[in-house]
Amino acid sequence: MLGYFSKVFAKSIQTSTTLYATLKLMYKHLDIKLVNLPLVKNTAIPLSKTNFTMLIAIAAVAILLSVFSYQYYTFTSAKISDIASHEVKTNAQIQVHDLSQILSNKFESISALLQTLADSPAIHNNEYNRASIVINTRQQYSNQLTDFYMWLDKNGKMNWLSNINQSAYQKYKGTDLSYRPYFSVPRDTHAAYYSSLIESNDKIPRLYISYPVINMTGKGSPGIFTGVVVASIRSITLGNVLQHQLIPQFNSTVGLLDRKGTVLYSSTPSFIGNDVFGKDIQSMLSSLLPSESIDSLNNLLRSSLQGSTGSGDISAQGKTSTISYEPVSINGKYFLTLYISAPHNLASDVGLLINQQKNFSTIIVIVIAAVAFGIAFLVFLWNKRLKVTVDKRTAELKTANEQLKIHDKMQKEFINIASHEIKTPTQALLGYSELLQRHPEKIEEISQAIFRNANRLQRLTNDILDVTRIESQTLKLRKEQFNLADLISSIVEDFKNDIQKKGSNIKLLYEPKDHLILEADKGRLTQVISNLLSNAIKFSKKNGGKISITTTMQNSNDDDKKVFVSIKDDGTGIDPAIMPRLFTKFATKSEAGGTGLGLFISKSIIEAHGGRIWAENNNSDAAEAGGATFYFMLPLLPTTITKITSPTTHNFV
Amino acid sequence: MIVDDESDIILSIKIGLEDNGFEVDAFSEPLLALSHFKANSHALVILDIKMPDMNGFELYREMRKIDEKIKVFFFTATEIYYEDLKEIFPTIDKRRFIIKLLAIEGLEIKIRTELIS
Repeated sequence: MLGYFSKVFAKSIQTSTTLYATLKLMYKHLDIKLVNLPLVKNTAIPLSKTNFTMLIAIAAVAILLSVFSYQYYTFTSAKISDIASHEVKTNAQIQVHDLSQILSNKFESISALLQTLADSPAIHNNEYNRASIVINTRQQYSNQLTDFYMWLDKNGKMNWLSNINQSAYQKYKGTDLSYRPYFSVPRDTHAAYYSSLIESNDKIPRLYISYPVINMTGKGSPGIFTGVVVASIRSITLGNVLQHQLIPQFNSTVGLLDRKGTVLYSSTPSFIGNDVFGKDIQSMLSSLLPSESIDSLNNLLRSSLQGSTGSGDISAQGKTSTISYEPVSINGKYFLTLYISAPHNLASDVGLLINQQKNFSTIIVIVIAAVAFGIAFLVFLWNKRLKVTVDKRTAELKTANEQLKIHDKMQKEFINIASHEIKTPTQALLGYSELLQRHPEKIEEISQAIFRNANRLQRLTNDILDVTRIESQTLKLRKEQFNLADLISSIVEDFKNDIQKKGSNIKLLYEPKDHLILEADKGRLTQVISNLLSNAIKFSKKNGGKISITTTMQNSNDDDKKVFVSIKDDGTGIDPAIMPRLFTKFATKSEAGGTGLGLFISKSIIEAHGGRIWAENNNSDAAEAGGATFYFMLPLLPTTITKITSPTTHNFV
Repeated sequence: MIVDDESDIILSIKIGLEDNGFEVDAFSEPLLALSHFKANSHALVILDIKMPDMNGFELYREMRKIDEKIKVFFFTATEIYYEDLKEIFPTIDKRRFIIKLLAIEGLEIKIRTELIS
């Protein structure tokens, strides 16, 4: 039992070790495998703790199943082996019983033949010729078993020996066999005699059955002993006859011992004639069997020689044989003991088969477990991929949500800017119109303020209308040919007047170099340049700020002539938060004021002229506030460029 | 005291309130306003919210450090900053928000009510 469990345990350990190793290997290679997947390219995803635990659980279930199936099959195997052993035992018992009956019958029939011989008148009357025929005939009746029949006279001398020719008869005739018990015992007892094994003169071990020949002289008389008739049975013949009776499939062997324990027949020929407890046989057995098996074999033999029936199992070298024994009697008299040894081959064959089945089923369970493991692994993998997709989508949603929030914030900003831009001049108008009645003496100052604020409202209205036109794509350009340098000069002139009026000392620098002839909407370009200049002034240092306007021609090729205009200030620079949406609607910080529409409108105007507008901070590090430069590019008309002969330098304080 | 970066607004309100007997200091730059603000120097301040350099909330916070009982009105174009203000000053009353447009007369009434209470 202990051995069985330790075997099961060892097997379980082995199985689980293998599975664990597989698991570890798969886990180790997981990253590499996942890296190869297109969806999760360059993303090594290790198994999550939960998934790893689940894989372990599957492996554990597989191990349990393997152990259970192994146990179940071991149990079944033992059970079936028991049944097969039992079958072998029963068969051996049945066979030994049947054979002993057959043997008894054969001996009894020989015995009966001898009796008829002893009673035969030819023998009684010493009619040798007739008697020899009768004896020969009787022998032929039983020649399956008997070797020869003999007739000895009252002195134990050979009268006749069956089945021999005349010359041999002459040789044996008169041989004195009176010393043999098969002569002396019936002579003395006037009864049948059954010998144990006797080695005859020709060195062949034989069994003898003898009957006394008694001449009955009258009723009640004991009779006169005139000789014996003897039947001889070769032990080897006896054994062979018995062996033939056995069913070959069982691989059984037969054995015979006489009452004294002398081996009459054995499948090992050297045993024949030896005492079963004698030195020779015992020393040979001790070389074949373990001592406890020899002890149980000897016990079995001893009880069998008591004349009893029985059986027992003897194990040697992992193989078990059942030995069944039964005494063979003649006319109720114990003569010898018959043994049948049946190996448990069949049982072990069945056991082997079941063992194979057990191993096979264990393998099947392991294979199923491996497949389940694989499927689970794939499912986890798929889950991972799903998770990656979900994460990606979630991130996209998050981004979209962020954008919505930004949009929402911008809308709020718009409302704020719009209401500020509308309400501020309106509030001023409201206030001043109230004051106008109370302070007629300040009429000039107040009407100027009213004019200023009404103007501001008008500008706002124009801007909004422009945006509406841009968005409905109805912005119309009234194009005319003019020199951009002249336009810039006149705008700069106006601005410097304004600056002067306000008492500021911002410097505005512009040096017209070239004739920049283009075909454009003068009013709209004025709007753009004014907007860029206002912004530059707005963000410039109030004291000592400097704004320079430069124009650069590109491409002397007449067909593709361009002008780049830059407006550079040394103010606060562009807020990095605004930079990405600088030219979009409402791109302003409300602290800075303004509608945030100017640059949007400027961009639309420049692009409507086939140009481009952009901006950059003068210092890459915005914190250093080196001011900003706004650029716009416009295509020029392919006309001859004439240098302005005496360029005017405008330095305005 | 009135602080707003729109000089036309402060000017019209300053004249309007002075006509009604108030003494008014008007500033278009918050930092300048703060430098003129002293403890008990003013009964009430009217502050614009979005201003360059320092917004109205920050200005109010600084003024409270100088005069913690200073009465305030925020004069603004929209209500959308009210939520922001509540985050900074959770106990602030919505009455403190005066939404433009408002005639000087209306403003005067609000100021008087506030000063009495």
